[in-house]
Amino acid sequence: MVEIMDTYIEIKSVNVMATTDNPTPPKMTTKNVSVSYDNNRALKNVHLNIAENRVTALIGPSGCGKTTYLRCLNRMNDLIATCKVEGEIKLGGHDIYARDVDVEVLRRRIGMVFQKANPFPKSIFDNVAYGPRIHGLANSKEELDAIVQKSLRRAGLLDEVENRLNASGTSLSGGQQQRLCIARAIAIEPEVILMDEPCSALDPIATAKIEELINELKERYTIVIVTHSMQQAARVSDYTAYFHLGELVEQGETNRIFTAPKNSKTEAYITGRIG
Amino acid sequence: MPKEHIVQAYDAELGNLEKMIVEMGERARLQLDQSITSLVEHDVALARTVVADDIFIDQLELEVATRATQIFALRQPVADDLRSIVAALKISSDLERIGDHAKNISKRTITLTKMPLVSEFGNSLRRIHALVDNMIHDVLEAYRGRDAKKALAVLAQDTEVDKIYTSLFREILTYMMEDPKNITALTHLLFIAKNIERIGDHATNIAEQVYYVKTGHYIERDREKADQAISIIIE
Repeated sequence: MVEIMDTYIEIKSVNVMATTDNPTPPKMTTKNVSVSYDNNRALKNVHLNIAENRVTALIGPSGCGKTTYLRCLNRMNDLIATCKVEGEIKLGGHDIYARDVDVEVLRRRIGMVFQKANPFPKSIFDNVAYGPRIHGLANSKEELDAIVQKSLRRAGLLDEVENRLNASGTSLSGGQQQRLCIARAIAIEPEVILMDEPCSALDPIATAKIEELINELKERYTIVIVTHSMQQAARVSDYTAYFHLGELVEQGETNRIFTAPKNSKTEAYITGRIG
Repeated sequence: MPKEHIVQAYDAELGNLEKMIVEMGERARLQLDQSITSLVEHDVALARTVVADDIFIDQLELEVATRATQIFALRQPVADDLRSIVAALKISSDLERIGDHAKNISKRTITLTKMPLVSEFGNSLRRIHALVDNMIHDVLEAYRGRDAKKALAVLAQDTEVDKIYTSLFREILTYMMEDPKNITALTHLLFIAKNIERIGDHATNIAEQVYYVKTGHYIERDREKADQAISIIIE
């Protein structure tokens, strides 16, 4: 006696990388953000949320608007007379471009680290103590010492400079200077840290140290990083946003963007097919 | 999207990988074809050729692995490039297994020719071979054209292969019961049928990889297999 059951194959497609892109609650929201310089539009209607305690990488070719976008997030563009910012940018639900916003207070909440390490021509200690001093965050010398120590530790620099806090900040190596700038940025306990190409002038070892630091810092801070290195974006970020010609082309989980991007422009850029 | 990379050498490397996969596929197909021909036509010389030629497929698999590893190290591939290199690695091992099955069929063929002929199965074997051959042909085309639809069609074909295998299984058992003298030869034949059925499974694995390369998604299948031989009882 032979028995054979009826058989069938049901085929369905699943995305193993399936994620709801950006499930983490946003620290910052940006809606319809456009920027122009002298009537030249540099950024067009960007909608992007910045997830809290996550690293968001902004990538794209030169002139795509990623740095312009980054600079909107703490109103750095206010410093450029011809620059006009439109749209809505909120931090913790509050419009950062509202009339009553004190820009100095805003920049205390949203710190920034630049492409080229730019320590003040002061001692290592004073570089880090600068922010807490002007914002009156320490009531005593001991408190200030503690803030400086803590910030240098969090920036992964303390062990290397503990014995020479009075040495000039500019005497440090490039990578150490960049970590000093990060220590300076976090000394005032910001909520968000913006990084504009923080490793572009650093060697691979110094770069790896900054990347490790970024990974540690995201436990306390929300980080947005502009980078030309796609590998760096892939290594350090949780979310990636791809900009092209002033537009946000695609954004989502970094895992997905680098394995199965949805937009062909994103794919062309990250795989090196764009001229 | 522009097809070419800015770095042209990268395109050449990816192109080479694809060429090697296609060559492996064509060789595996030929090996299978010759193994079945040698079986049904009792051509021992041809069977020996199949056994000897398997090494070329093995060498190609190693070459694919070496080249793919180099591309990972030197180009840091992402997105569709990454998917196609990962797929090339997996596809090459499926093709290598297909080659092994063909070789195994030929080894058994050499043994079988020394035993009483079992020519009753020629037609069934040719039929199941034709189906599997078509699957390999189609999946290689799907691979070359990055055709997800065609890849899905290959999956569907495997059901028929499994059905024929099941009926062959039943038929062979029946013959065994009729005359126990034939059991040795029939057992070899049963393994051969199983070899062919497994080749169909490898073709479906490849189809799944092609689908992944194209779409970035894996196919989840309710693997209710048509191969019901595992539950057959003859009393």
